[in-house]
Amino acid sequence: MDIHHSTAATEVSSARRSKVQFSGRGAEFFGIWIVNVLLTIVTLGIYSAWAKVRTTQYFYGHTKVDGHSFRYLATPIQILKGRIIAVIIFALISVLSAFSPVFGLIAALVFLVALPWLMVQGLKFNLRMTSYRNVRFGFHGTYGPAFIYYLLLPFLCIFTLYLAMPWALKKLDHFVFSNISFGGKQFEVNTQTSNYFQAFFVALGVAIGLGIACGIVAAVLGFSMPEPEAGFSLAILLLYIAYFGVFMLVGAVYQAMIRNHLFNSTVLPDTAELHSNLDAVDLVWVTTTNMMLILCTLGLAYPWTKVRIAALLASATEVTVYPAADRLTDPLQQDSSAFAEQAADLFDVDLSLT
Amino acid sequence: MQIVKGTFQYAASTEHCAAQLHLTEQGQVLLYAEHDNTLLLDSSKESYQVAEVLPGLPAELLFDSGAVFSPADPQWRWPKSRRQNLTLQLETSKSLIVLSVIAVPILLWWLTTVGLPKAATALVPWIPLAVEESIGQQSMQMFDRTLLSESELSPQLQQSIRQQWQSALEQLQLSSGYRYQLHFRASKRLGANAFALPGGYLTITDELVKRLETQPDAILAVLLHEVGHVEHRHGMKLAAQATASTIVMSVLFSDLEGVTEAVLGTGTSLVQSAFSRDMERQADYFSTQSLLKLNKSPQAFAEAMQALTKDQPKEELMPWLEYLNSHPNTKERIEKATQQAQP
Repeated sequence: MDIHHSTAATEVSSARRSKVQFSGRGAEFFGIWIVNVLLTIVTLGIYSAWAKVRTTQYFYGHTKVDGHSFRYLATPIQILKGRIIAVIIFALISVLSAFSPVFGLIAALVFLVALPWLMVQGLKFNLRMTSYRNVRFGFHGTYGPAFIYYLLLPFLCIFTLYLAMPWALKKLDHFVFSNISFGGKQFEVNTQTSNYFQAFFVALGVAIGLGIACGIVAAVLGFSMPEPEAGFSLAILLLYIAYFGVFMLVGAVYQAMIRNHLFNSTVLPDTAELHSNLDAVDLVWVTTTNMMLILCTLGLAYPWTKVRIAALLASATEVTVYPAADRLTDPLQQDSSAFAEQAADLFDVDLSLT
Repeated sequence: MQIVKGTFQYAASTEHCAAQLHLTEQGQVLLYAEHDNTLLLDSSKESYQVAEVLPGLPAELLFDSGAVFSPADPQWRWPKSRRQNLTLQLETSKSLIVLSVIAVPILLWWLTTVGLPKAATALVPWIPLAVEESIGQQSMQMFDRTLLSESELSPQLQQSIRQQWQSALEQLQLSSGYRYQLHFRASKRLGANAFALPGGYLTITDELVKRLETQPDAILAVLLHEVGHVEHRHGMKLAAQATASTIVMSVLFSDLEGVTEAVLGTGTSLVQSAFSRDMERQADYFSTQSLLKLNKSPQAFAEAMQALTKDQPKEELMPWLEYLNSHPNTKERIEKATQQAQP
């Protein structure tokens, strides 16, 4: 889309900025979830593909940016095909590695090499199946860079004692987000390595602090037991629980900082800007209480936890939309040659690893 | 004719406008732009369909051209689209939701405690013995490389244990067809221990033999316990069950995050240790029954258990820890063997 300089100036002034709205309700989603779980069990897992589509459609449909919701276009059959392929491969590998561990080793290597390809295919599928205002998203990453950012850099980071990891994660995020396109335009990501290091060290500090605190509490409680063996078992058990807790809290702090930086540094040229001001404390609170809810209800609160986190993320996100956004077209749907259609049919299975 | 207000979304474009939809009795759709009443679209019944409806979201009309009409009222439902709304009716039906809340935990419980172990037990006989033997052989090689070292027992002692064991096997006349092999190994890390690998590979550690040196029948009782594991194909059943429950859990809860997965994982491993405790009981029973067949007293098994747990921490300290244990309570095992010794 060609915008002249003079009109661009007026367009900027008429940009509109609004919060992302999430209108899903826990009780409503509970009905969807529990009925879907029942149908999945009764159909021996086959319905899980339909369940995935319904769930995604619910969350996409209830998420509104600038007054318009997202739509999930994948069909259950596409998801089912992907799952059947995954189960067959998984079963084949288990059976064959039972015959020969050498085969198991080769299979693991092949899987490792195929991993970046699977990641790219998953992103391609999920973004192609996501539409906003009738225009689909797209992903343009290829195997080569995916191999570098998903495997090679994290592997090389081992030799820096993981000190270079924040830089590798920055590269990975940049690869994923700058390859996403919407309406023929590609997202521009201007993230800074220093922000990733900052988030990493804050998270590390929180982890060390919490780790020491948990160690002291476990030791005190352990020593207060009459029998030393029982005290030791109790301390180990407490540390095991604390291990998950600390990981979750630190993960939330890191996630909040990185999300804010990533969103605030990402634009769709001349079309939209993303903003995020997610408070780490809020995210920690929602994640912690979500975990408590799930534990106390033996999993039944799962739908509410999903809705709570979606609502929190939406409320912390704003999007600035420029008038050019109202005139975007979908290049994929415009030049859909017969071959492209056929190829899409053949490969349109959900191979994402979730 | 019905009139519906909503938003018209052009095909393959972000362009949209407020629109009024006129639906005739024959199912024909006429769309007019709200601001100037121009005709946007004229579509017959064959060239559009109602999208799947979700709770709380408007029922969209999808046109073959790719355009979409979204009613302003999320409660609005198109006539004659009941079939498409079947899923919606199921998901919003109060009675089905209540039924699911009751049925889902029961079904999951049944699946993990009965269904999957049964399926694993039924599946295992289909695995050829040759496969089991090759698995056992390869695992044995791996153990030899990592945990085990050459036995330091005198050849005479090894020979006498082997002879007693072989004559016992001959007398028992097992029909399963496993070619049993007994290996003597030293292992500091395993301590006093014995284990069986699929296909009939038995291993007994020097530490265990030394502890039971004066009680040859107790050594035999331990070995028969391991033979019981092989005869019941326990190793294969555990592997089959672990694989099956991994598949089931990943299909049912594919979209779970870390914490929930950890909770569910703990639940599955608790059930699995219950499964393995049952297996130990089965192997104990096999051992004591075999001892009876050999005209020996099951008390030998009780003695072996006693000797093996002599310097271990007391289990009574934390009774709830038992649920994490892969073996039953030693006291219970000794009592059961003693009971069978006095019929």
